[in-house]
Amino acid sequence: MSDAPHWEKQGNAAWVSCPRCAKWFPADPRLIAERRVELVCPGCGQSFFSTDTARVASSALSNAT
Amino acid sequence: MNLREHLAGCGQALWRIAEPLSVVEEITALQHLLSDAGRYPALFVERPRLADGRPSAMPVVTNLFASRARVAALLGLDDHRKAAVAFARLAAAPRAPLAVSRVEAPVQELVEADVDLAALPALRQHELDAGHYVTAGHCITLDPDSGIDNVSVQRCRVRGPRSMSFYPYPSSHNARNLAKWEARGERCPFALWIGHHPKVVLGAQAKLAHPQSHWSAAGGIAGEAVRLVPSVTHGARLMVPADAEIVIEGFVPPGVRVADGPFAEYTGYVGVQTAAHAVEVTALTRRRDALYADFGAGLEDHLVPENLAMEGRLYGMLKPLAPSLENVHVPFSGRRFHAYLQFRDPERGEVRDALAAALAYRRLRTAIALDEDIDLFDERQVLWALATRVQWHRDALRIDGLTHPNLDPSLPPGAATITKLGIDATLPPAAAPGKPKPFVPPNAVAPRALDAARKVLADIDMSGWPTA
Repeated sequence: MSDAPHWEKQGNAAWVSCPRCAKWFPADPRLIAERRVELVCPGCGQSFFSTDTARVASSALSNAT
Repeated sequence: MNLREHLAGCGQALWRIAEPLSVVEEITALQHLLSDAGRYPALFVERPRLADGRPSAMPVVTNLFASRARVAALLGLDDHRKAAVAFARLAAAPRAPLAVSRVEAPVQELVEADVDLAALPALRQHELDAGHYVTAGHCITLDPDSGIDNVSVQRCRVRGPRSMSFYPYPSSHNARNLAKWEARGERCPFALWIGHHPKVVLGAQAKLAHPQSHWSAAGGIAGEAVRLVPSVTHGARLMVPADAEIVIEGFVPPGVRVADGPFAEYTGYVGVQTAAHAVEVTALTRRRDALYADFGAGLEDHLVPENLAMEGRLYGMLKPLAPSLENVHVPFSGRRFHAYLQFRDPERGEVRDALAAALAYRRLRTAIALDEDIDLFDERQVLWALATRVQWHRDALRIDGLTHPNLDPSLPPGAATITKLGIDATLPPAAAPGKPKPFVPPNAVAPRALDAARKVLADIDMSGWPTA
């Protein structure tokens, strides 16, 4: 959980970019943080782990672990 | 009782579309335009085009549930505003299902062991959807302790010829069953059925305890026993509706998770990609000339049947606690998060009792109590009551630490529970029955004045006058 005061809004979706086609899509921050399950790009169908090959944009991600 | 019998009686409420619409967003786009126009025919797409451009051998039927009025008529109602009471009454009068043999089951006319799910006209409904989803799949799992089945509409994505993802919300009854099988290290028997008479679809969505089979409630609401047949894979252990259009059978293996989503959800927002169960498909059975049924996700078609079932469930839960409760509405505007409760002359404390109980229902976030003079189905009136009958320090009932609807897009990250709000927007009670309430009356003009005004307007052409 975040240390931020409870009245400060925190997002709960992370955005991921596919390493093959660069399409951005929303993902559960826990899915990205845990790295147990391969993500699937809705654009090209590529499967990939959220390693350094994927770009991730989210302030919610820091709260997921 | 089946889908095609229903369609044959739809008349002008069914639009048969001969144009070859694509399963990739085009059918759903049509539903969006119809929703924007406030028109809700059922759609029968005779020649859907698959993603690769080939024509589908199966027609697609969708938008069957988009009209509250039509769905309420299925329950024998002349007014959809009576649905809560009717649904609660019918769900409380169950009819046991009827077992039939395989030769009596149209859904097993064809049994395909060499399954290719890509041949189904499963829709890819919205931008960002991760693929083709079975949206009107009524997913059946078993409670391993009791052997009792559970049915729920949950999203499944076609992953391959014999593979699907399966995303039951973590607090759902199917998820509870899966967790039990997983704890045993065993795979869970699974089947999903697609397409049936809308009364059976509506009845199967009755909100029940766990473990409790839905077939009897479905029969009660449908007014006729649901005919069941042993599944090809699981036999009599897992029964499926004999009169459905399509059944997909398989197992959910323990410990396996695959990515599911994004998927445009009932909230009106895209549900994020998340970890879901996988289904290993063993067989597909169907009618020879099967129809493929779909729900338009996030549209009225998706929300109306579920919200009607919620209205019935809430009415049935709250009426014993609050005898002055007269009606319940779960409005499309609030998706499944808001409920309006209507009371007539409640005793002191009764409204807050009902609000507290309503908020315990996982799917709700906000419950609003209103008087009998407010039309629950006119949100201008609901907001007027909120604006004029509520003092927040007195009338807001805030309860922390309650379970939440998992797909609420505003959830704080990682939240296991949330704060919910009950609002008492009723008027203060009268000093005694029959006495006026200690509150100012609403503005009104006399009936004779209204009659006079109506006569003046009777022959006037108003078409050129400004609208709101």
